[in-house]
Amino acid sequence: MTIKIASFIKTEFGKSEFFSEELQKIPDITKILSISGEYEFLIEIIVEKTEDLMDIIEYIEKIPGIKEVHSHYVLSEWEKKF
Amino acid sequence: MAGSSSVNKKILILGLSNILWGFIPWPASNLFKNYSSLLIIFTRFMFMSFFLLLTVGVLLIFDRIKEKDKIKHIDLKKLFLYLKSRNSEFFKFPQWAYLLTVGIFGLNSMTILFFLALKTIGVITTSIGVLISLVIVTAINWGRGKEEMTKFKVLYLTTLIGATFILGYISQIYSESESSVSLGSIVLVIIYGIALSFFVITGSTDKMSLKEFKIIKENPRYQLIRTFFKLAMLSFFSALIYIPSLFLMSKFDFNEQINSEIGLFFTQLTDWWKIALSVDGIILIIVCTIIPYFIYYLMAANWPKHTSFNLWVGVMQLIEPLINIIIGITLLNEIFPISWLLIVIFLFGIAIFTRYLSETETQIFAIFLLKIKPQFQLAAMQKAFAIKPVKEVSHMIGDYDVFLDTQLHSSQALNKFIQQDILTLPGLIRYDFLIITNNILEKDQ
Repeated sequence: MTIKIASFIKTEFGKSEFFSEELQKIPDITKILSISGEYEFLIEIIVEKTEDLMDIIEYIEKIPGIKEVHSHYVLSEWEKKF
Repeated sequence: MAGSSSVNKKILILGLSNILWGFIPWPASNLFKNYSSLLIIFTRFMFMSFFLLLTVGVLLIFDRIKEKDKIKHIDLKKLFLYLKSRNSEFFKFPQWAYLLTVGIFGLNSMTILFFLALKTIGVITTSIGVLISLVIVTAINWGRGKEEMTKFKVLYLTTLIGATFILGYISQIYSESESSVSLGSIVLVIIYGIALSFFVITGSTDKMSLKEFKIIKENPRYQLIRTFFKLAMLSFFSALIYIPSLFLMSKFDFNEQINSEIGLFFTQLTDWWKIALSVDGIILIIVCTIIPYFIYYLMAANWPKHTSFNLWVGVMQLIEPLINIIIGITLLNEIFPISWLLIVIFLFGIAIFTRYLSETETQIFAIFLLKIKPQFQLAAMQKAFAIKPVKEVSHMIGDYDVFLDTQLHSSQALNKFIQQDILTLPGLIRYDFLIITNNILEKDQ
């Protein structure tokens, strides 16, 4: 069973390129969006096990300059195709 | 932007569908030499519905193989329930009645008028109908508050109107046939443009029911299967009414040309399969109709979320009349002076560019986070899913309950969307929104 998580990430200012490169290195991250407002990035993580998720979140939190990772568990989703 | 080479490839493939649609006048004009245009349309609809229903069947089998949970299977019963459900956006008609109406007054009348115009006034003049329709659809969407009238949009419309006048005037001056220089031909093209606009607008006026919303939650393949089934039913209903309505029309006396077309239709009816099996028939039905539809819907289903599909559909649809004109001159020997052709191509280039600029200058991708009362969450998500700017709805656990991925055309549209759509969602406690400034990564899943 796949687990999908939407995480909002707050970072230090002025290093967005460095963070986006670091985040792109993580294979389980399927989407990275740069956003305006309280957070700098919105990422989507898809994993098979909860343990994998914990490892990814821990890895992200250890990237120097990451201030906060705020995650939401996605229960279900509807994507409009047409 | 993420995966730009993959996006470029998809844009090119989408353009290919418009090029293939643009080729329709070539096999159609060859078939006119031997067959009734009404019989050609009838055969095209019959085969379209047959191939599309076959595709639906293949997709249903594929779904059975892929989906292990029997309850989540999409079966014929679910598709028939779709036909019985009501379309709340179209006078609350049952879906079958909605498809019948759009089939008769949209797809059917548009196709008949297109073929009739091709046969009587030529490809170049007929291509004006598409331009007229683009102007009508933009004007109606503007009137309904669904499109913004930016300076680039005004320039785009002005260029289209200019190209329409040049095409109409020059093609009539250089026309070899005396009869084509008439008020009748202009009226025919205008009516064709109106019928095409009716089809474009009503064809997408289709809201999913709550039951369907629940089916998509269990099995997202339903959307693709439903789309092909809808198209198959549209073609089927269009073909179905042909024989009875033409039989009825044959009892009345219209003008000579219509009477002879109807007479020819019944005389040649038993030969309809010869049309389908001829080279021109195969090009018309398979290459210029079925393949472009497949390409279009497969691209729509796999389009990256934060790259606008509608933008590229809008830009690419101008290729179709341009190909029509080129086909008319090169393959069908219609006369159109090269100097004027270059001017028309230049105007089309400007129209494509201004359309692109008008769509991109104000494009906003935004994420909405909603806190909804527990008992209203499903109803709120269903309502949100039906709103046009909403591309994706997610149900979440955390500070917020619902996540909306949206695409809007301007800050005014964003404001209107918040006031009219977000704030009226049932059970809304609070909301927050974030603007996407850059799509760094988007992997295909």
